[in-house]
Amino acid sequence: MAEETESTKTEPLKTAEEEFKKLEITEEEESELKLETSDHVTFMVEASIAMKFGAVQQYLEVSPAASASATAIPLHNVASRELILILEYYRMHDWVDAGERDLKEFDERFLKDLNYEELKELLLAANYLNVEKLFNFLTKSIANIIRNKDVEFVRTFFGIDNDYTPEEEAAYREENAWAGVKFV
Amino acid sequence: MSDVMGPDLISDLPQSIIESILIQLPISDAVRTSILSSKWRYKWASITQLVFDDNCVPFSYDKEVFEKSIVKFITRVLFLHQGPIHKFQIKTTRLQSCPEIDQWILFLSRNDIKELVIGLGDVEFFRIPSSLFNCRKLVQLELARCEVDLPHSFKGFMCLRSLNLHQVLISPDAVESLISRCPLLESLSVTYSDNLDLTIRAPNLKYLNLEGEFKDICLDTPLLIEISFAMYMTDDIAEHFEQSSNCNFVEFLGSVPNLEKLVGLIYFTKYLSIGIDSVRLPIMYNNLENIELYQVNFEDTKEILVIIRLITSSPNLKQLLISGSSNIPVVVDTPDMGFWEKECLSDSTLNKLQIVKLSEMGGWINEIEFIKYLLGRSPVLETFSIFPCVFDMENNLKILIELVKCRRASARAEVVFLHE
Repeated sequence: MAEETESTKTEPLKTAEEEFKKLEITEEEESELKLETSDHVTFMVEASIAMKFGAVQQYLEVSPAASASATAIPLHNVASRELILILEYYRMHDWVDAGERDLKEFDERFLKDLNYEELKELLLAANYLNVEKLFNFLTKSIANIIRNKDVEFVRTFFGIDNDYTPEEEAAYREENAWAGVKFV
Repeated sequence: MSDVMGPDLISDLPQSIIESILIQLPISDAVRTSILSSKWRYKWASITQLVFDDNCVPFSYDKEVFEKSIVKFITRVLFLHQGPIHKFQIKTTRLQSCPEIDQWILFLSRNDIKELVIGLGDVEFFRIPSSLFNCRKLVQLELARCEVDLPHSFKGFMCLRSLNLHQVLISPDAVESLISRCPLLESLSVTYSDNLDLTIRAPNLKYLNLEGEFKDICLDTPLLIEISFAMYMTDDIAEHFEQSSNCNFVEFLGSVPNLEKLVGLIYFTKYLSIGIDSVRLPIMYNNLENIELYQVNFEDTKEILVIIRLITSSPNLKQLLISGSSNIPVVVDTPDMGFWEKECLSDSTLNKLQIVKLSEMGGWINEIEFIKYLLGRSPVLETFSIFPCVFDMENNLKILIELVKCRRASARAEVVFLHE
């Protein structure tokens, strides 16, 4: 029973992906840019999406010829693993027919499928590429993990090593009790 | 994300990323991260956006205790903060004027603050200290429930692009000179205001939002592209209009040739209708693509004239949204058919109009005539939706019968009759 609900939930996403593939075929004329990741994998990316990357924009401002030529635009600090995720995110969010609910479901799944290290790498890549929407989504998601949680939970979740001695910690808690900041 | 704990990957992220995370948190949570570990002790202290509200300190029913604790919290945050502060926002109804607020603003004015949002108290209005006018780097300023006097020495906010005054006590002269001393101003919102007479001089203004009681508004804003105006009417203002010989339309919209979107609420259309029948419009709105007018009184042909003048002066109009004043005719109205015959004489067509939505339609003969007018002159019309104001079968049937009779200039037009 539980599985059934799960599959109905993901259905709009599948259709979204299928629709997107169709779009790719029908709109062959859309111009593409060649991007090369740090692990030397080249990607052909729709210009409409690639131009959302601040780093690509900046590169083209300096060397406008790259948009027409066959030379790849190098992305020094992004590995192919992250670029695939970034493209997946942007293709979904760029897809005109995606409704608010589809996007919300997609975002939730997207986040759930990331392990902690991938999340961090993706955050760094998004920061380097200067892709605002994804970067905001990721930082907001991390903020939501911290929000209203007690200190111990946040430490455990992010693997933060508490290097305060118990005396120091007690003192800082005391010190920070100013203005009623509460520590649960 | 899996919940399995790994090595610490977050503490060594670049400060700019940490800051992006921390500014998404309520400030009390951001401050709390200083307990995580020694690396985190001061990470929060350099965030460039400080946003305070009623939730930044634990709630207390004792008003005085609560107020003291907010003041203490904010003072402490400012005291511990290091580096530039780009944004400072305080929105709380539980804080009244107090000397500390003046000190904060003085402190911020020395820190090159760019964005300042102040909304305090609900009973007493907060008097803005003169130090605010020394925040020369301000780009965005938002004030609510405040009292503002411009100091004589005020030279202007040379960088200000956005100004939002909500329920602010300020004299019309002061508003005018405040606005005219912000040469880069692009966005202006004056709401909950009773500035009766106002001339807005802003050479770079693009977005204007007005709401309140106004008698005479004059716009000297050549670059304006969007207006939203909710106009309230009092007996005093109504009387003023009865005696007025001005054409409000020309004064208000006569020198905004770049307009792209116009939204008028409540008595806006009525306001524009004063003096409309005595003049020809001196201007064309070649960029105007969207018009929304709400609470239009279809009993008043002068208000209809406002709409017709507007749409026939906007050759690129794509979308028109009009709502009526939500009642169905109780008596059979005797419309001024002469008006329609005269207006229908002109052969102007609405060559770009694609979407029309008419809501709160009661079935007045003038409404039907207006529908005929639009359908007959819009060759590329795609959707024409009509929402009746009540679901009265008999009345709606009457509208529908008239509707099917209408000639349509567009063969593609889909006419939809719906209940909202």
